[in-house]
Amino acid sequence: MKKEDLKKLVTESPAEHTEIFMQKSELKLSRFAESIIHQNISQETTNLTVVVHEGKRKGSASTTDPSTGGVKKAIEKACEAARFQKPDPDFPGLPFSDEIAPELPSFSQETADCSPEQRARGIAEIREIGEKEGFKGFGTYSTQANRFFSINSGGNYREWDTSQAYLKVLYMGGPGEGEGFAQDVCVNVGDLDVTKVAEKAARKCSETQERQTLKPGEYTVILEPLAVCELLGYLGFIGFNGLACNEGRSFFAGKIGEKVMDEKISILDDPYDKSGLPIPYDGEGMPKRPLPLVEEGVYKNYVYDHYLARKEGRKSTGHALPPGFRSFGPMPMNLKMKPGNTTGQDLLKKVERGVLVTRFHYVGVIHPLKTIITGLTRDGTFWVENGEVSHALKNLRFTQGIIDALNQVIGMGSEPGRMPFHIGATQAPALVIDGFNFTGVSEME
Amino acid sequence: MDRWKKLIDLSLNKGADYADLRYIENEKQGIRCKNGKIEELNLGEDSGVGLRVWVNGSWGFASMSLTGNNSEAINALAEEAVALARAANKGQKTRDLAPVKPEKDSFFPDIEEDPFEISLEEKIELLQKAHQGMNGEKIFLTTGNIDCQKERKIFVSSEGSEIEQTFYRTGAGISAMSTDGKDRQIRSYPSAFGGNYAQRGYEFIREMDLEREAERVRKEAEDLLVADQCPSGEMTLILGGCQLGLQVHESVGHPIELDRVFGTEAAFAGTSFLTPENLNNLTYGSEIVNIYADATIPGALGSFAYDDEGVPAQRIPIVKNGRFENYLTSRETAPILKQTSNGTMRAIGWSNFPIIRMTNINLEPGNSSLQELIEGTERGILLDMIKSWSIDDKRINFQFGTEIGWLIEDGKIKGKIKNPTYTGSTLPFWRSCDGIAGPSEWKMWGVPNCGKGEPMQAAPVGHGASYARFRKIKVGVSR
Repeated sequence: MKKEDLKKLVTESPAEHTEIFMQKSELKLSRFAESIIHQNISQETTNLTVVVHEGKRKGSASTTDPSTGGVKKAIEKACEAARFQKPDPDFPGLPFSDEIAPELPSFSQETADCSPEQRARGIAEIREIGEKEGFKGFGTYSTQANRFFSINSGGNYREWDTSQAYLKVLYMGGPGEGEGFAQDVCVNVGDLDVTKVAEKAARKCSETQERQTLKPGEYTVILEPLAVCELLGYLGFIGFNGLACNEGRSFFAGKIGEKVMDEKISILDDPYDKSGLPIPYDGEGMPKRPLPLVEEGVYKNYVYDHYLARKEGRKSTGHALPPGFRSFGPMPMNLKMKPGNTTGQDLLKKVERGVLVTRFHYVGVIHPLKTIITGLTRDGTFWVENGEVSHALKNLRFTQGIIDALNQVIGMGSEPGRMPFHIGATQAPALVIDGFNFTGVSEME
Repeated sequence: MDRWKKLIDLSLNKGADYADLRYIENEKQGIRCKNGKIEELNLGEDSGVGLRVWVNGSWGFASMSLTGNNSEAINALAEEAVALARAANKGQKTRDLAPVKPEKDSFFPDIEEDPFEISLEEKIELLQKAHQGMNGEKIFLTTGNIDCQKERKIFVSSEGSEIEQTFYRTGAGISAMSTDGKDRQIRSYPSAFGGNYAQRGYEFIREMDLEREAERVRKEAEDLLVADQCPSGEMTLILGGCQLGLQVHESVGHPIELDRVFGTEAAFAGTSFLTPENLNNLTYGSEIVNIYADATIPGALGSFAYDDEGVPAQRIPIVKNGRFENYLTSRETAPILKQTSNGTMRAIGWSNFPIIRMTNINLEPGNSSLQELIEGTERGILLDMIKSWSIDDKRINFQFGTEIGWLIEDGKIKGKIKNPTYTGSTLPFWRSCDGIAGPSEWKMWGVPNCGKGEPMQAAPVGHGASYARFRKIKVGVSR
């Protein structure tokens, strides 16, 4: 199905307003355990959603069949669904923008062409690096190529491509049953440094042998970039989420212009950053652009999709999700915390006694309004004393308000890390935080 | 069927030692209501095929959606899947799959009312009436949803299995969020995060009586605004069936997945404390704790006639009189323990690779009652309805929050408490269980979105539970 064909179908739709969003994806993925590939897949999917408005009555239908007949059938179903709806007085019409997003390096043909043999070679290298230390490798090596179409009867026609190469390596083993993890994600698979990721994971695994138990309580922590990225992602979901702000479910509701975090913290949504996973258009086909959210601790902007923006008399900020996901509300997909200027070793020196955390696991939201979450550390938790790593720790449970934590920042690293967040990526540096609340230890009591 | 048998034959010709496929047609209907307004009304359908091949002890898998008569592209799946399997095999030993008897069978569920035959108008009206019942001065957000799915699945294997199954999955739920300007609370019914689900017809939604329950949901959401905070400390804990289902899910259901034990989820969801030397050799819970994996319960969300390897559905003891007796297994993992598969392999939709999934993991009813459990509690709390959950990568340390709780003193309910949480570790927790309510208070809970695998597969699973009591549990953990 070409853009012209979709345009024709939208034009010929019997509905007053018609929108079509289509994502075609090719996912190639190798999962490995004990350094052997146990799952090697190729997944080709097409998901097409039609949203129609008959007057102000909305209906939608989805299909995996993008043929002319398949799309026509979906339009008919969407019209059928709309007939049963009550009119939505807030329906603002369909979005339109004649602004063209800048050329972004969001797609790599090399990633799309990555072969199973190339992934297998990478995993063989991971096995070899682990074997030198007596570790076994576990993880995932995947590439994904996406083509998006967003077309509406208001004249908004967009077509764009993205790609993603993602590697996760967890080593386990050694005399003290260590665990070490590292990962990276990028647009071009050629930029994925398998050796660097594997060696970092192996180093962590070596350092986590013979883990000791730490009594729960409040401690100074050094959160490595992956742990901060996790906090930032949750803040995007429960805090920066435009709908949660509109409905008063977010901490940030009504707080524009207020100082909400330590002044060392600046956060923006940056869909243009080539070191993340750039995205030119949102789920409504509106151009995305960088948007400051927190500047030196002060909250700056809400994020909007077209519907919410018009409801509040504003303009879309390019944060709509695709149809089918919009009930979650408009969300930033490329959150980026500006790094500081302290190197990793100097960050350690700021800590007299504290905990170094590689990453978090299984985070759950306890109190969205207070941004209180709980979760565990994993794959590299260490005790730091007098500015140096002393020994490895058993994994710890934390129960902590994200905003509280970001108000207790005493140090910020200079090198950001990144992790995937839906179709974008979150980027953040390491942080040193005072009074981080650990409430349990992962051990059979 | 012939089309798919040819694809299997083609896979063998390309070099597969074994091949199976699932062809799936899906029809879905989803209605989301927010503050009385239908926010989303989506009618969906999809179809596609996923082909799995086994070559020299390695899997390859390729899938694609069906877009008309693209038989050439579909046939190319065979070559791609075999190439993937060959690329995966780098020096590993050839292994055998556990044997399974080939079956030629079909299964169609016995439902009373086809949910797709019920008009959209009727469903919308139900959600809007529920909204009216929940609406109140202190209620700022109400939600309601109804979901229906019909799935037709054909399974064909190179060993001669030809199985067709049809599944109807139906579910609904409502919730109300309250505020007094300072605090916010939520109550849901019949379960949180989308309600309760089953493999039944629309009669399942009628039995929920959403309109009648809406008023209670509103009242409890408002009551929670002025309720006392959950106390902190170590005390007796009684869990209601909905929350107990989650407790079983997280601290029993996931640790017993044998693929997880062998590390295939290690870098994502984690591993399991339940290493093989524990089989038949570990006290998991107190003597009254009996947990079964039962894929044979009619209408339960995690039931089926055959799994996605063509293995018939089974009822398996997991924990019997407190002792750990079985994992959930597959044709690949079971032989490592010198067993045959107990039939728990499932893939979500046609596009995904089958992995071990929970079926219906049930805490069997005991011989007590909620009333007796409360009367036997000097000081404790009764909690129910999932609000937050977290558990570590080996399934040892957990912390859960619920929507509502009740304080118990001297064997009597003393009033509602808000923001309840509890935490513990898996084995001490189940070993502290000293009372389980009986069959009359036992109910199935359907969870439509158990997450596992990469890419993530959200599976429909079930949990049967009544009420159960646990001693010396740490509660009121928050900040």
